Amino acid sequence: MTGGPRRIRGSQGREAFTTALVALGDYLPQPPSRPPAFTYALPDAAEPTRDGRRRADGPLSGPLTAAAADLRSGRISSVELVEQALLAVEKFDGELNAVAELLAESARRDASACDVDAAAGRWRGPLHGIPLTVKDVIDVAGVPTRAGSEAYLDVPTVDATAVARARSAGAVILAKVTTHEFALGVTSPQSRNPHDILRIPGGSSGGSAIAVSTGMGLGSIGTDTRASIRVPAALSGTVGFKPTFGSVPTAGVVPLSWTMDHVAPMASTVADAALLLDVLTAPDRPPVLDAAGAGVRGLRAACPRRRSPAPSGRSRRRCTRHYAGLRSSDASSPNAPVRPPRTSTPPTPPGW
Amino acid sequence: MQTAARAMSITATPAVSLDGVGKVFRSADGEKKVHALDGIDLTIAEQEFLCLLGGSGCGKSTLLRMIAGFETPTTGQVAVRGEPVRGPGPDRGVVFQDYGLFPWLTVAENIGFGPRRRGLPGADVDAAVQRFLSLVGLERFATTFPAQLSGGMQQRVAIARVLANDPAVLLMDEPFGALDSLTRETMQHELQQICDELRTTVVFVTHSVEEAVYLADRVVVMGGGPSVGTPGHVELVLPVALEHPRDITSPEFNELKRELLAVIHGTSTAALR
Ligand SMILES: Nc1ncnc2c1ncn2[C@@H]1O[C@H](COP(=O)(O)OP(=O)(O)O)[C@@H](O)[C@H]1O
Ligand SMILES: [Mg+2]
Repeated sequence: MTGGPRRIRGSQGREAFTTALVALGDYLPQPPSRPPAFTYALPDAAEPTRDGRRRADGPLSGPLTAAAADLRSGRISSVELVEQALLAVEKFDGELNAVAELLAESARRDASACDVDAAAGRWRGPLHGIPLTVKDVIDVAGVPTRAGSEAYLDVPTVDATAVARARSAGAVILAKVTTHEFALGVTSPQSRNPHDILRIPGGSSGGSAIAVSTGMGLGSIGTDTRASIRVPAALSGTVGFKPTFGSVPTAGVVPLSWTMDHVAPMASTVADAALLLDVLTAPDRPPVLDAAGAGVRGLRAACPRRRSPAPSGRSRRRCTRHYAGLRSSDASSPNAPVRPPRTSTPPTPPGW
Repeated sequence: MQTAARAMSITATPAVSLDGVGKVFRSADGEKKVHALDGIDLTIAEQEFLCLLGGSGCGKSTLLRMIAGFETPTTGQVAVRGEPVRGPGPDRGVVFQDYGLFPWLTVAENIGFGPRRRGLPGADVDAAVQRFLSLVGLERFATTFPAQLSGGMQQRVAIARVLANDPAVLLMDEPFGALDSLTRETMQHELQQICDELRTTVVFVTHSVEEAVYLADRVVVMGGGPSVGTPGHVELVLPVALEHPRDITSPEFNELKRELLAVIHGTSTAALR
């Protein structure tokens, strides 16, 4: 027998907690995560629009989807993309402080391996050769996870599931990026907003927002527990998308709330975020990229009226106008009150 | 007359009933259908110890998981004490092979978790903890953490924790599969004693013929499975009427073992052909 309790890593703790609740009939076990399988082709992004708006005649695009297509057609190499991203780090990071750990050496190595594979016609997946950044609450094997805190240090030996999925789709991990301490806050005060360095970037995926908007990588994997993807995306003009709970496994992520943590993509445009999300989610879900440029016909739109924080003035008028626009367009929107979903998940333990 | 009939039907309500239960999965690539189980009819009486016995892939775990409410049957219905199963619930406690304890709670805190969560007063929680601690013989380890215990001791804690939750049925999926054979025999003996004492209803999954004959009131032999090409199904239901504790070297014990092995080998040689 050894002395003292074993030290439990955060994400292992979440797993132990839910397994124990499952044994007591108090929680539905999560389905096992399966290896990704990619079936769809990239959209044709020969002429990407800079702002990612839908062209009259084509699908949505963005820097990430464009770069992926350019890599396929041999117009650019992964090494070049990584060097561009490293230049952006050099240029902006001193002032903005987005990078928690730069992985220049391994990124260059992985990128050249991608280029070798590409030359031989071996395509790893839709993110082949694309440099990405990873929020510092998400494990990257062999790289310290600090969760933005002096009090936390862990050097994981395996990638978080989300990172593993991105890698197996061909992504190159460029850097770990900064976060609000333990992702418990929406300001990320240690970093600066790329549009105005006197302001916060928003958080807790603040580093992701800075990285995406300044070109330190073409996308970022962050997390959202209470708006941690949505706030920094909004404050930096990037696209962050919080997917359905559980659609991206949280294995290897320092937990904030075991029952509310979401792993989420951030990128420059809707199409880029959609592509990244398709890689991160289980492959048995229909790809969202296919839907990204498809218009709103047939979608159900709903607007929560009660218990939602009321935006003021200009934002409220905008929301109302967009909702009205949706209702008069071809989206069918049942004007039913939206109630928060009842979940079978246990309440968040006190103190979280 | 009417009341008598109702009393009859109440006492006759089985702990668990499976009615024409089948399960079809989708394969990992989503392309093919995997027929894991088909046409399972079983009733498990209150206080019965039932073993599901069969080779790997015949759907034992799937059947158990449907009783637990982790999976929904594709066809048929599962009911516990007459209530259709709609999801997991504290009336069904599960013991897994790898214990699934709260690593940061002591043995006593692990056992007290269920009662406390159900809102029992502190004194009742403490009483339950004491009772189940002594039932599994771990009084001296109340303040120990799981990682400081051997595998057999951790599994005792897992059993005590689930029993302290007072479930209608205890579901066990190869719970002793990770233990060495001596510990395993001890655990079988202790489990049998505990279940006799508490009169717990148990569904116990195993692929060991000896374990099944040692523990069960009835052994359900399962066969088939997607790898064989037929859905998993019940091959044979064999009552075991021997006195506890059972002597694994006795002629009667070995006669039952032979009978079960013949059925199992029948199915597995069919699989090879
Ligand atoms: N979630 C699932 N998706 C697809 N197939 C599954 C799933 N769960 C079990 N199966 C298949 O169902 C069959 C029965 O599995 P299982 O119940 O685990 O068998 P046993 O416990 O008897 O070894 C196996 O062929 C298994 O591969
Ligand atoms: Mg099994």
